[in-house]
Amino acid sequence: MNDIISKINPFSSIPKHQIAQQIVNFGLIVATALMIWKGLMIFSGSESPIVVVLSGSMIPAFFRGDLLYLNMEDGPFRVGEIVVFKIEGKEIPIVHRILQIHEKEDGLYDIRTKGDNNNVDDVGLYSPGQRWLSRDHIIGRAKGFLPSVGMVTIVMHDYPQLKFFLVFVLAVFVLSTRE
Amino acid sequence: MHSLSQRANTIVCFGGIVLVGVLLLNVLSRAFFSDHVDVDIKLNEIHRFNTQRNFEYSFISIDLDANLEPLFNWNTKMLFLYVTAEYRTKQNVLSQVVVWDHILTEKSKANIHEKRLSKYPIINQGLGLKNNTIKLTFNYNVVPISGILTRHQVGTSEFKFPTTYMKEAY
Repeated sequence: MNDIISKINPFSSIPKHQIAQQIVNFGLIVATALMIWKGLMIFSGSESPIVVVLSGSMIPAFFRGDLLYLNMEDGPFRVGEIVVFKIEGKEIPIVHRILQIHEKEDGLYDIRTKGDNNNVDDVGLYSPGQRWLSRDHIIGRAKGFLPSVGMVTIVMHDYPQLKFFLVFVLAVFVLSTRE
Repeated sequence: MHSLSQRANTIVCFGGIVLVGVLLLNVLSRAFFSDHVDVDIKLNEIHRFNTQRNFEYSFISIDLDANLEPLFNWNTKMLFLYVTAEYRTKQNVLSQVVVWDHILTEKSKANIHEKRLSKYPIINQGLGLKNNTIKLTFNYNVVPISGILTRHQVGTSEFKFPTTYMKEAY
């Protein structure tokens, strides 16, 4: 019986200390990724330094699947800037361009946005009754982008099975590799 | 040492590094292209200027001469052109409103000579436009195929709103 189990289990021939080492390595990879992300958040000042464009409202500047790098530097907002903002009660941030701005004496802003590929401004997207964005709604300012790189994220979001499959394959690969 | 997975890993990593290097060179290559453009912008006409309850609105048109051909290089995907009206009132230390915008994707159409351009109204928060000086500015946003987004401002002119509202002529 023990022999049968040994043949079925691909990990049985690996020493326990090596399995432990592989698990530690995997943890290091995850921790490194988290550290990079958090470091990027600090560097950019934005809660979400990298976002994937999900809709076509900014065609032809951005297409679905483009990856945007965001920054939340101090400094005035000005018309024409592309910002990412979040509406209360809605999950997904929106990437649009500032169309109109009113700056108060105390430094507060009333901001109105519009997607380049849309015919009307975004008042219809804001919360009911809301006519302006303020600085609080804005989570980042678009500074640069890479085309199409974010398609991986979109595909994995659209097909969750693919995501789990990839994670599973990665885990098996990492744990079963000999060093 | 030379397993398939090892070789695939090396190829992927090296390929990634090369791509990043090429991207960096692409971004740096911008320095070798002139970004000087000549722009002349001025007011054509104030078509409407009036008030409703507690805000003002106005329709204006502008004349625009601009040669933007130098801005197109191998990394230029499109230019977003926009003209802003900028002013100050008691209620706001700065207001900026887009009065016209345009997406330019072809170099062949980058030499612009247009009259009476108009697209968006100026809608002021509150009152304060009468006899106010408005600064018109031409701006463009360079959207590359990949890399850093930049915005530039070039060419300004000023005009003044009249001291009285215009009668509506429908």
